[in-house]
Amino acid sequence: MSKLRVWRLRSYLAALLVVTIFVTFAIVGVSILFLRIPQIERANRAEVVRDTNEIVDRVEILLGSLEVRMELLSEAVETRDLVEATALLERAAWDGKAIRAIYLASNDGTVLATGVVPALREHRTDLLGSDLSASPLFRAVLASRQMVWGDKFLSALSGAVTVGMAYPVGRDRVLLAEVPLPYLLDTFQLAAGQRTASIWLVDRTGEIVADTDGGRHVGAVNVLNWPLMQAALNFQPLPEVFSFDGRSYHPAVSHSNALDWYFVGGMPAGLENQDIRMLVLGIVSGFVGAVLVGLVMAPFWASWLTRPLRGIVARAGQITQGAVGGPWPRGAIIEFNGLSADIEKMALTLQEREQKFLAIFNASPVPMSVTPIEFPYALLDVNEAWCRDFGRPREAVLGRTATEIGLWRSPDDRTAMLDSLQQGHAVAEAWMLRGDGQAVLFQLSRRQAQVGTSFLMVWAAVDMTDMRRISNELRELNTELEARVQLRTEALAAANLDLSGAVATLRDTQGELVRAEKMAALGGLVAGVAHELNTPLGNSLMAVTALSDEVRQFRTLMLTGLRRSALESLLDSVEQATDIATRNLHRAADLVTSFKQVAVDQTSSQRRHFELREVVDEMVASLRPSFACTPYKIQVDVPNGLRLDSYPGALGQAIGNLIHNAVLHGFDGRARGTVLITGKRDELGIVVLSVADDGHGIPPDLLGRIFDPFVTTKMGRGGTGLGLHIAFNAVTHALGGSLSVRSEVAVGTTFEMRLPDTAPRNSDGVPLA
Amino acid sequence: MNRRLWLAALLLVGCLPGCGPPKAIHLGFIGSLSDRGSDTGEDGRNGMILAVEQRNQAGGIHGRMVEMLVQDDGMEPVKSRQAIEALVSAHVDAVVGPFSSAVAAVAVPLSNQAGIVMVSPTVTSTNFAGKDDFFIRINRTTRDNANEYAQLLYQRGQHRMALAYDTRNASYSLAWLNAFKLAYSALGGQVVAAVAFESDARTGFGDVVRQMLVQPSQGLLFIGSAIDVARLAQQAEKLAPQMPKSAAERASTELLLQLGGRSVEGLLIAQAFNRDDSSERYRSFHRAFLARFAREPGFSAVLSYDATNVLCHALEMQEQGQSLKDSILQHGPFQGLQQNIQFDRFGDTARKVFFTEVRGGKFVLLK
Repeated sequence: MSKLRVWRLRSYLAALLVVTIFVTFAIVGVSILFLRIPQIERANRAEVVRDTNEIVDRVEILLGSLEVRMELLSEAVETRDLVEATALLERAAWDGKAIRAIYLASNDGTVLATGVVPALREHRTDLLGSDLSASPLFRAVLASRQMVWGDKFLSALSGAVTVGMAYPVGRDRVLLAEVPLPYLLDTFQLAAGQRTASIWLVDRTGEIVADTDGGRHVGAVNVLNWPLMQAALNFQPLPEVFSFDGRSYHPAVSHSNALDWYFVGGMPAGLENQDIRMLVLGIVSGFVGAVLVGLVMAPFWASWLTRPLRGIVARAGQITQGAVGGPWPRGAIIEFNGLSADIEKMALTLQEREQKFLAIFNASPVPMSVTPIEFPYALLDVNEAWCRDFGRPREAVLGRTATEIGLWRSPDDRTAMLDSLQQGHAVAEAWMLRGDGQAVLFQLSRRQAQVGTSFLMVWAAVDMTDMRRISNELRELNTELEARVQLRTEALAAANLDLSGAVATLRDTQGELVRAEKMAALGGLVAGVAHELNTPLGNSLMAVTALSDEVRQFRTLMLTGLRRSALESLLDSVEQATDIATRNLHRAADLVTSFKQVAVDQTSSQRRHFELREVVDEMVASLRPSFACTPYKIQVDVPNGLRLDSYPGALGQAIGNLIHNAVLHGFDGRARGTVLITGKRDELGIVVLSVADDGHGIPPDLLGRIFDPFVTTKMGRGGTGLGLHIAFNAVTHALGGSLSVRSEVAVGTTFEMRLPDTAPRNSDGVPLA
Repeated sequence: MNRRLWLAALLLVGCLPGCGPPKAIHLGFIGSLSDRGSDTGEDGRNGMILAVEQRNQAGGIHGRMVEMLVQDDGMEPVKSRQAIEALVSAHVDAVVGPFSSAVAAVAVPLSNQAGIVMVSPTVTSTNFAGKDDFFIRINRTTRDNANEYAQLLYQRGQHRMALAYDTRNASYSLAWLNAFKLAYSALGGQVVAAVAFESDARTGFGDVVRQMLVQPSQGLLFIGSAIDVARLAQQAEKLAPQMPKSAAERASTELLLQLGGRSVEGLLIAQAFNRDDSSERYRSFHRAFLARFAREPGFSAVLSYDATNVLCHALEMQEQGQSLKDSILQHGPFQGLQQNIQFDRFGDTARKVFFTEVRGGKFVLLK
């Protein structure tokens, strides 16, 4: 968008006047040119035709005298003999001006008598007897038997360019005269006089013989093929304009019948024509003159016209500058007087309004100042609060910058303040000096305000000195408090360190207890194994011992005489004994194999794929001897097909501990009890193995802590309080599953393991730990 | 807005020189248009006008029109100098002319100095042959002409000849005379008289012929312009009607026939071109010339036509950085109206001439 150019009224009016003059003259001038030029051209065309015809007439009249001379000469010569004829001819060529040489020739072309200019007379006899028969002029006159003019040609006599004329003498002879070209040209020039048109004399072959331009074009061109000449030769209308040498002309062609030559007139056309040039020049001069006069006059006019308005503007300017009172100008123009009165009214209203706002400004309790929006922020106005707080009179600060007034406590304060403002902060603080030299901390806030089209910066200054003091005190208190907190924190850290040591000791103790529990479990296992093996081994021993007794008895009988019945009895015994021993030893071997499997699984964290049911069965089988002499039963309901990739040792341990827990705590003091082990996949596909008893149940206050270490109701009576803890650890850590418990007092307790198909790989530690 | 206006103005100013028609090629003409020599001068100018007009009609030289600047040398040194200076100051690209050795003597040094190529249609003087300058000749030398004249005349049984020669164009006529004498005496012929005359109105041509006839001879040979030869022939016809007459090739114009009339009947004269040529090339030239100027072309027109065409062709074929002179010397042979034109390194050429006799007011080719 282009910005609108602003003008002074005087310049504007002056420009308007000049433009008006310019446009007026342009329109008038162009109109005149359009009307006048065609008229001039018409006149020019008519003039060139008139001129050309006139020249032809004049030339013919002038040459007519020459023709009359020839006719008279012809009549005179006709009746004379050759000597007299020669004398007559001599006289005719006496001055050589019009006729340079004249020949009397017979019809066969032989020269009979001549007259030449005196200078050439001595060679006159050379000419006698010469043959002119081939000359075109001679042929022409012979053919027409009347006055004939020839083309220009080179005179055989002088070698000069000549024009010939011929006239018959009687029937047998002819007169031929050489008219020097200069004579013809002089005649032509005489006839032409002073004319504006250029006129050429053109012969039949298109050669320019003479022109009115000082002979400039003679010989230079041949115009025979020009459209102009062709039109003239063929009696067609001439073209409007023809061009020659880069100029345009209006043509006119006139034919001289006497000479059979053409007179070609050319009147300069367009701007080359003097009349048109003068007209255009006149109009252009008038135009330029008018514009110049306009340029000189217009400012005066404009100045005179705008004088009352300038008075009003000047008065308004004074009001703007704050001047008061005084009359408003009145002049001779009603509109301007009306304007003056209106502005006066407006100025009064504005002054009242300004006073109102000034009162409000001064009444503000906050020190306020107004500056331009650009550095260095010279003060434009301050209110009374400002003067009071800064301790400086209003007159001493207006129009000056803070530095000039000496508001800054130090240059650093000023720099910091300016930096803050440049970073765009609207609020900044700075130490400043009051008029009495006291340093005061001011918080300066600023806001840009639009006043009309310009922008001003309004500043509010708040004395922050007291606030800063209080804030400093608060900061000191805060610092002290922090030191105290630090001291307390250190004391707490020391206590914490002591506690950490105690916990470490406890953890060591826990480890030892776990090891002890392991040893106890091992002892129980060994006792179980020993008990299991004891029966078959005892049976076998008893059978072998019985056999040994039989053998001893038999040996005794052998000493006493052996009977068949005794031998048969021995054989029966041997058979019975070996049968018993064999069966019992097989049973022992089975047991050992079974224990070995349990031992292998329990003592290693070996991971493998296994069927859940197999592990449960093996565990139950290894525990069954412990139940053999109790009234309690174990029922297993685990379906086939629950395959796990896990740690069977850890699983077995967990199951074992849960069963032990049921027997030791659930059935304590009861005559009967059943442990039911069930396995299944729940709806989410997770393997759930539950170990349920129908024992005492766990009291609710204990239920939340039963997986914590050392929680037992049998402390000192065989319980370590670690069994469930170990089971919990094994399930949650090694197997990656979860162990939960539901219990109801006097109904029973159900432990439920939820086991993933694949145990986490990171369980590299011993599951018991 | 303002900027756009400026741009338009700038464009217009830039366009003014560039958008106009291409600059014309200026060819100067220098020849005699006002004096005794104006028959050959005008004829030569017409030949050039026709060549230039035909060339422009065919689109000019690479689109550039050819413009002519015609200067009259008036057959005299002062005017010749003015004429050639006018052409030099007009910065013409080349000049066709001059038509006489006398003018060439003045013009050649000036054109050489200005470096302007000058192609002369008719100058034959040996004075300008064999020189590496800016002067190019379309015509053969006087020596060649004189040699052939000597041989032909001797063959025709004219073993003793009387000669007359024009001292106004001494450069030409003396060269011709000397060459003839040399060749003629070599053949065993004898020049019994060599009469000098001045081509002037005051000269008594009867006296000249009488001097030629002092010693008995078998033929008369005139070396001069058509007017001079016509006048000498008129006198010879009166004084020695039976004497065979010959004239140097320079006089072979229509004017000779017009002024000579019966007296030039039987005159032997060489033509620089074959007037009876029936080739289409010449016939169409002849037609065009007749239509354009309403007169017969003379040798000057034919040679001038050839010279102008050589210049135009050379300008057309001129390569970047090549001078016009080099273009003329290197791009030959050029197709002339009746024969090919091939220049040697001095800008000289050989040209065939055609011997004719005047019979019944016409030039008739010797068989």
